[in-house]
Amino acid sequence: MPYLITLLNLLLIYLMLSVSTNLVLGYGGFFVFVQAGIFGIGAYASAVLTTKFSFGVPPALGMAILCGALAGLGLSLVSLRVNKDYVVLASIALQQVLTTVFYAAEGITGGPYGITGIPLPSFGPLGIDTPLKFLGYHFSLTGLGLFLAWRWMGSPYGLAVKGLREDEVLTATSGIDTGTVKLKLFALSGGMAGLAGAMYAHYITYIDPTSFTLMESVFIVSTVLLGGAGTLWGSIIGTAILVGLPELLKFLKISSSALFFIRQIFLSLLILLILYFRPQGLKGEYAPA
Amino acid sequence: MVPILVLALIEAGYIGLIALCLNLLYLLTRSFYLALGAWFSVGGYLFFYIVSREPELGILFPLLGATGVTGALALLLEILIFEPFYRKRSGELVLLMVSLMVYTLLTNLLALKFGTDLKFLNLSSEMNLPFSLTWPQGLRLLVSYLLMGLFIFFSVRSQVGLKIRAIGEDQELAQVIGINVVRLRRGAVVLSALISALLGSLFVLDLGIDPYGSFDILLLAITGMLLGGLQFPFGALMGSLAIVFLKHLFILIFPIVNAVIFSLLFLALIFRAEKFRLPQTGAERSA
Repeated sequence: MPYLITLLNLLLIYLMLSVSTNLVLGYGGFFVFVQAGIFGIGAYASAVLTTKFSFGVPPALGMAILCGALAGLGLSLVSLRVNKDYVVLASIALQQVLTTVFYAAEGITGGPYGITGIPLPSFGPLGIDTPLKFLGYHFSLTGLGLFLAWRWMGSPYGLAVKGLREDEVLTATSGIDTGTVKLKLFALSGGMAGLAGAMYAHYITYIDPTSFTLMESVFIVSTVLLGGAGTLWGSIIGTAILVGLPELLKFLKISSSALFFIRQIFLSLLILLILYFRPQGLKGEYAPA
Repeated sequence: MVPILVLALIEAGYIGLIALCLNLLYLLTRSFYLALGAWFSVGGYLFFYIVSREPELGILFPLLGATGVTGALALLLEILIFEPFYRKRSGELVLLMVSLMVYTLLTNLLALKFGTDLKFLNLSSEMNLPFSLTWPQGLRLLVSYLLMGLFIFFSVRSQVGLKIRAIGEDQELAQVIGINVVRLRRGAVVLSALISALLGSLFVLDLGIDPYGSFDILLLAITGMLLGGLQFPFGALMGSLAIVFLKHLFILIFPIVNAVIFSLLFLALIFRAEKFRLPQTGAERSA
């Protein structure tokens, strides 16, 4: 039972990340490989504020959301100027920059040694200090994130985002300011990824740059492509399968480092198969052309 | 100052060569062939493996063996993985994803087999050339610029180069007039993989190689390619040479110089977007 609760907690954190990616990729049609980097920004923002500056967790979560949103906004500036191929490249470049900074800025991030002793969340008298309380806490935050994503994408704004994906020129000619739509979309996505990072930091209580690399971004994109791009159910299904699968492999008594590489090999093959045979994923509505 | 210039010249050589290969493949596939970074690592690891196992073979035969096997593997994956997507007329975004997944697959296979620690032969002390140049550095310098010169000569002067530029202009029209696009593309992939594997093998002599290290080289080459312009071949070449010399100037000021270079790419995409509009193909112009 405790193992299952731990797995569920991780699943909820990664679900938040997957939804944040799905907003940009599935609804907006932009392939981005920077979610792990923005996840890291949120994690480090919250960790640094709580460990070095004695911030409480609630304001630290707020700062994590803000930092993530700003990073997303930065990427959106590229999307305003060039086509989607270059947004992919820009996102990869930004991911590499962030990974390099996480390793190099030892005074802030602890470099390769990371940050330890990150406090558990507490909201006044309510301390989140047991796996079950964490489950309730993560369920609430991820549930809120899912609800907001569902409302946004079901609103006229969401229609504009889908219009952007299908035909940006036609969307623009119908009077929609596509620039503002993109800016908001990337900021929302970045904010959610930043929040997921803060959730992760206060759950694991230790972070280092290895959790926020390009390969993690590939994993996050895989959850969207497998489950289905353009629907929230897609993120739920994809995350459940891909977070659960390595846990099954653990029963095969493979070392944890080999497990990481096997996971990446499996993911890359899976994405290739999905892109060829079922580009819309298991339950998606958008198939990359 | 002189050692910095020499190092910059060496790095500019192999980055420029990678950029030329990327540019060539871009013309033929209209997408960025990120898998090239994997061939760099595969070639390097194969070379290291052969030399470690059979040191009596020397350097040349393992070099030829490693590059040959890598070229063959590249052709195999081109036929098995990429060509189905070309036949499906997949878009540039999907091809970019496919390329990234091939890169991920190969580098993680290497990491699973060999681990992630740096592998190198440490042969740099065996011979010294003037200007404090070790012989692996001299070899990289010589091989890079020789291959670059040959590459440019054949691109500009040969019939094959003309056909490649024709495909870049309008692939369908090129097919109609009888150019075998599939054969040329396969040839370009094999040639690029051979060059990439050769460079990766030369790295093993002194600098070392790890599964993921080639990605930064690839991004540098792409940055140079984009900044120099996608016109084949001089745009990519000039851009990558410029970016490497800039990097070596920055090294003196910024410790995390790769982050600075990639930030330049990011800023260039925001502020100089008009340079990255691809030259329209003939089909796009007449549409």
